Amino acid sequence: MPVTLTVDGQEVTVPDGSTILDAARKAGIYIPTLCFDTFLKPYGACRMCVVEVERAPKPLSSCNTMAMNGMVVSTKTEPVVHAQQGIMEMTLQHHPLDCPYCDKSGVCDLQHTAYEVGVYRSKLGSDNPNEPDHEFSPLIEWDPNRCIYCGKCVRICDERVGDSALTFNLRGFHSYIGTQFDEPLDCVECGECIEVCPVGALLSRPFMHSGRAWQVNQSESICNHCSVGCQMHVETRMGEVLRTKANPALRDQTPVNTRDRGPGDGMLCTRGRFGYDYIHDDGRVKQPLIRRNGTLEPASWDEALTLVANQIAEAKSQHGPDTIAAITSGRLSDEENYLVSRLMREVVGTNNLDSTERWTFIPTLKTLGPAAFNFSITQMEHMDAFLVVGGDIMESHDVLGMRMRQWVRDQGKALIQVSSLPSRQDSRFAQRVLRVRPGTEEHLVQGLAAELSRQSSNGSAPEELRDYNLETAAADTGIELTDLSETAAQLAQAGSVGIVWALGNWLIGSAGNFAQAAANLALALPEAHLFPLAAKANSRGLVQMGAGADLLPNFRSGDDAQARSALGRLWDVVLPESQGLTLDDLLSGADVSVLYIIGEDLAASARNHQQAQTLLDQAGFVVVQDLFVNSTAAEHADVVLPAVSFAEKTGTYTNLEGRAQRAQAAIPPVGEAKADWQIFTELALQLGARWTYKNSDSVAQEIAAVLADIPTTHSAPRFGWQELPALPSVNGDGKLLLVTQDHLFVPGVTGRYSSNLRRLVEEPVAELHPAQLERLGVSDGEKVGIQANGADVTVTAKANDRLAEDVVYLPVGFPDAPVGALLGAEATVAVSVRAAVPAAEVGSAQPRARNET
Amino acid sequence: MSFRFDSLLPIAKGLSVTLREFFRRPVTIRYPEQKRPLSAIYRGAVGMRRRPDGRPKCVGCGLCETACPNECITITTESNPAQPTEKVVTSYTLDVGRCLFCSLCVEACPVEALEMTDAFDFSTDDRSTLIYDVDRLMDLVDKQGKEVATLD
Repeated sequence: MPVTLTVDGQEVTVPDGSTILDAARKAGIYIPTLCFDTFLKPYGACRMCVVEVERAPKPLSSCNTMAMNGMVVSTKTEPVVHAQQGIMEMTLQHHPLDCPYCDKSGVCDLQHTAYEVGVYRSKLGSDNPNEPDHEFSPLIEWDPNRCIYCGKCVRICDERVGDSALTFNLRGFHSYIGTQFDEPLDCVECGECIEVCPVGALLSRPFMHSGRAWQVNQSESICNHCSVGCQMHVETRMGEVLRTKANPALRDQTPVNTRDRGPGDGMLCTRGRFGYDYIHDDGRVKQPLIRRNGTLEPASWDEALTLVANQIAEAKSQHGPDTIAAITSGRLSDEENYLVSRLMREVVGTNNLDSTERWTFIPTLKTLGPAAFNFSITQMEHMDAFLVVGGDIMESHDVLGMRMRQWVRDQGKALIQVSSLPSRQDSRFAQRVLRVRPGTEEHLVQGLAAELSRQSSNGSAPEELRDYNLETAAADTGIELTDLSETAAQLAQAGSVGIVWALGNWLIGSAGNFAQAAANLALALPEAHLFPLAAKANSRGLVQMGAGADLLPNFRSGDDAQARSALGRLWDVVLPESQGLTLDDLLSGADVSVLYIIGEDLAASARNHQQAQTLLDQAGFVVVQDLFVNSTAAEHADVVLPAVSFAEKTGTYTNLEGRAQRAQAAIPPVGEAKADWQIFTELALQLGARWTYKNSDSVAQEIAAVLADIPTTHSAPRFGWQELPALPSVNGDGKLLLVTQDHLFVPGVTGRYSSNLRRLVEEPVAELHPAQLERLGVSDGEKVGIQANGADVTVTAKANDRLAEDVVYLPVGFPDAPVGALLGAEATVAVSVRAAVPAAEVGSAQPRARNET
Repeated sequence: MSFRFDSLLPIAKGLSVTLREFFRRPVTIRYPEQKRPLSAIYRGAVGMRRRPDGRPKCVGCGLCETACPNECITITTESNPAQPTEKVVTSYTLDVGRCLFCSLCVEACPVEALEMTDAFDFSTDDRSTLIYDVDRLMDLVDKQGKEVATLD
């Protein structure tokens, strides 16, 4: 029911549930506000938005007074203005007028509002508390003197982030913003509080004092650190990225303005807000490098590209095109993944092109079909219950995790967390936490599927699930049978269930199996949706562009003759029909004469370290195209081609929902580096192709034509009953089980070059149960050595009593702790752990405590 | 045509002026060795004042940079690593070659760090030397009034 009211003589109709402020804004009438934010629930603390309403005894705050039919509101009457000026004077009394060096100046809500209400200085004098700065956090600066007690930071941390790290301490005149009982700040430093602070009380430390608000240029971009695809602004000045922030245009949603706030809902996480400074890291490769006499030496682009082209041409004529292979990355844009596919298939003439998506995304796609990836986050929001399995989405897809916590808390959705590791979702949000034995997630899901299908079909489980039931699941996963049967009952009655899992390292080796188990559970439930979450920013785009050995555009299979001939027609070439070498084929000893590695640190991130070393050693000629001289480049590359980050090139990134979003180039390339699409084009021209791409957008146009010509085969998800393989050997034999997972502060090898994120986690830390540490004779903070598969990794140990006793947790992404070397070909392995270094030699660097409750 | 003596008259007149000026004080000065005193409100190059401890008075607010119609001022700042709330000016440059001596920056400065000095002679054969860093700008203020030679 729309509501019609009169604001300043103007009749406005607004949807039900709107406030007077919404109505006034719809009518284009300005009402000053300070504590109001469209992101947050109305609070009414500052009283700046007072208006007079006819027949109301006194002025009302418009931000939290609902609009009603027939209301007559005046916003500019004398008592209203008088009240607003009085409020502003009292606010300014305690606010230092240090605008000339305050970073907020120019985008300060207090400045704007003071100007609008016409008060520039308090008649009450200045009573500046002159408090010293609090030592708050490595990334967030907290200046208590500038605080105006609007409570936005407290509210956003509670309402939207869900960490509730901030609070009002004390009451009355002595009140101040801080952590509960002045404990050390216990949060993930997402910096949402910085973004909402209307004044300069909360500031980004890395950005601080580096540019005034009106001096910076802003360009729209997409966060590159995970696949949620949060929209953000990159602020630059004089060719340097100063900071990234959530796109401010998204921060406006009211009943009268219900615009789409994008996949990130206008938020950013720690990675997105602080993990940008690798762009200007000193380690960036600024010009091509060629290995001469064993060392990488600077060279010109002409020299390097000619060398690469000659090597490729020579290998092609001598050994055939199928000895040339490329490995691409989900961090490249759609255009670049399309071009590398075209380069390999058209110009080189081979299907040998793959990426690490081979281990998680592609098996899931093959099991579930493309339709399973056609979901939206909005659809997710409408689920009644969530079953989150495996890797912690609060670490790998933090913004989505924050949004899920909002849905759980505000809309009363059920959340069941199945993992072998603790998560920030566990307490206060998850209704049920099932701490499974590592590597047995699919057994739990399969057991639930068998039980639920048995219930729904009156006792007769499908043939393939005959061997599974809750008892086997309880035995395999180590969970109490009662917990499992309660979970099954809860899922059966929950309504629509969203089965959410992140396609991370925990799935390596079992991604297809897990997808099948999840599909079985979805089939057994009355209403369920699958939400497999892609890992990298453009994992989905990479697969959709067909940048895989057995893939063609739009998820078509590589042996789809119709799609292949359609693509061949568009490229005016006969495409190779041979079965391309996948990453697994390459690692298990394929004969490669030229290996072209783009945006992937194979030596550090490969799951099978020894095989990767052998591949790189045996490859005749290795070309690495990356931002940094990573371990692959340093040890094995014959040529290093300097590529650029997302901020230096324009490109499209397809997020986990399939939403293609464009990131604009914000700054020119650092040094002589070139965008990947440009390198591919120049290399193709050297190899005799006739490509005419002028920029990334011309590639995008061609992609549009290709995707229109080769449509996705829209089959319904072909869920099938399928028997799971035997339980992987999780028998520890007195050893511990190594569990790995993404770390929020370590977004991949590239993210390790961000000094901001390095401040949060200085070194890799292995977490063990305190009892286990005691057994090893190691105390918290000392080093332990972890051995498996012939590899030995020495890291600092940390006690975590929320882990199972027979588990050791080590995050992925640290080049200095190559988890891949330990893992071999499995996702979970038994490792032996021992004390490493005498206590006296242990470094003093202590990682910050993390909220894992 | 006979010689007419009255034709010498203008020459004699002229020579008399020359002769008279010969014993007068010269109107011109020996620039650049000598300089004429300037008006107290003369607007030469912009200079940077010092704090009592000798550091530049600038707080890095960027208002002069914003006010400058020719964009000849460039300031870069960062926070003091030891005291993060303190803003440190890492560079302050003023391109005198682009300056039009309008004094808007001086008016914009909230801490009166800038002033118009009496420096006006910037002849050079290299434009890059016209980009003054903060030390040269402070020098301009230090030399203020000292280099102007009086004529007596």
